[in-house]
Amino acid sequence: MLRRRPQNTVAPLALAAIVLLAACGGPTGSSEQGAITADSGASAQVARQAPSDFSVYELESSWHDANDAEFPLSKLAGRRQVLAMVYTTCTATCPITVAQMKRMEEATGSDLGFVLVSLDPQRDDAERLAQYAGDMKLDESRWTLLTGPDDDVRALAAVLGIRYRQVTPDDIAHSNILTVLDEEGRITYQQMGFGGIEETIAYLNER
Amino acid sequence: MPRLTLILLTLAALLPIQAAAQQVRMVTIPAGSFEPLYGVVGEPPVKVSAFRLDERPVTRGEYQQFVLDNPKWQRDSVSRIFADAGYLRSWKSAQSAGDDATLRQPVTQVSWFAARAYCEAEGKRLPTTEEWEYVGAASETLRDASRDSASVRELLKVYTVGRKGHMPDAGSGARNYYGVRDMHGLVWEHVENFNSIIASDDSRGTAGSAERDHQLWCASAAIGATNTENYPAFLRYAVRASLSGSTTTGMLGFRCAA
Repeated sequence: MLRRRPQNTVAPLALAAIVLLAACGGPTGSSEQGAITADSGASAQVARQAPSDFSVYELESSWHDANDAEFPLSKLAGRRQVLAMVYTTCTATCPITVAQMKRMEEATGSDLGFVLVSLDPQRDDAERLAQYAGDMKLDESRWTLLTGPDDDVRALAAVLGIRYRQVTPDDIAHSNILTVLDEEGRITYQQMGFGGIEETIAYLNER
Repeated sequence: MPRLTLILLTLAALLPIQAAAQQVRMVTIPAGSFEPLYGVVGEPPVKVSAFRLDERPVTRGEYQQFVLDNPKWQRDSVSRIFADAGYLRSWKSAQSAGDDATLRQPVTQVSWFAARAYCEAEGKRLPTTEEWEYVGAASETLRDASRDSASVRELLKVYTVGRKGHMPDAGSGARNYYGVRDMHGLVWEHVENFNSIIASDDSRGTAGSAERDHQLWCASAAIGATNTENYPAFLRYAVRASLSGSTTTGMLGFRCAA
């Protein structure tokens, strides 16, 4: 009874375990890899969907923003939001995530909000978030930076399909997924990795 | 006389387990370390602190009481963010799991969010992947049977040969080395960090997937499988990798830790 379904998953998973991944030096590390993204990456890396049958804001969770003020997720309602989970000491991919979000900010209308949620709540307190927002020159009126307890970070990640794991004391391996939420907090679109940026901008500009 | 006392004491210790069937016994698991299937390459074995684990998976009867006490977790009321449409679907009604005969069976068709809420209501939590695997590595006699090929073969058989007849009661299996029952062969079980990264779980082979994985899993290069013979463990990780926070299946249950 435990039985049938998982059998199918053995082979791909074993394969996955054998194919160890390339070192994480940033996506521009290899021109060969870059070429793959440019040619064929985009369509495989974005998923537009009918609005999810739930709102992410239904999650019972408690967050603080960069001003150390309590911030219920429902405060994000009323505006479309682009949301990513990052952490401030991440040097490899998170700056690219933020850079891509800033490009979206420039290339789309002003109805959009941008949300960064920390994957590293132990270190990312409000002060660090404020410092980060300053360093990255994030417009306060459009960007929200949030930190919350481990349990709530894990729950939000579960809702968004983000996987992560502390690999070394300094590094958290994590999925790079950008999620677009509609005015009510329903998931309408996700970009996996960085290849789909143009498509994402086009999507955001559709209305 | 001392011997009689000892016997009486032993009996007294056993009785509450029989009598209070609704209150699950928790087993204290001593601290230790183990080699996880997906370790960080070059890192020493993972240390697990002492913790307590339910002796068996949560039953339908226990979960029924939970939804009676917490109506928002009844299938008619639960939000889709927390549980998909399969949530408790086999139950007789929103408040009733069905025949008394089924109440000692492990509850299934429950999502990770639901399992988490149940454990929290009990003042407990879900075990982590590491805690679960640490206990799950035991056979009846060995603390760590994950490299014992006879045990691994046996387990693979348990996982892959279909069970005939209906679902056994939770807790009807043999005790393992720690005294915990039904870690294998009854139901798959939710763990707290199911959405931890194992390695690329995305070998679906689209063009450019190497690059995509590279982007998705920053620092994941450091993670690799340590014991490639351990197919039962691969199966467990595969099941977890296929889940979202709201997934329910007829073979997926849970137990709590503290």
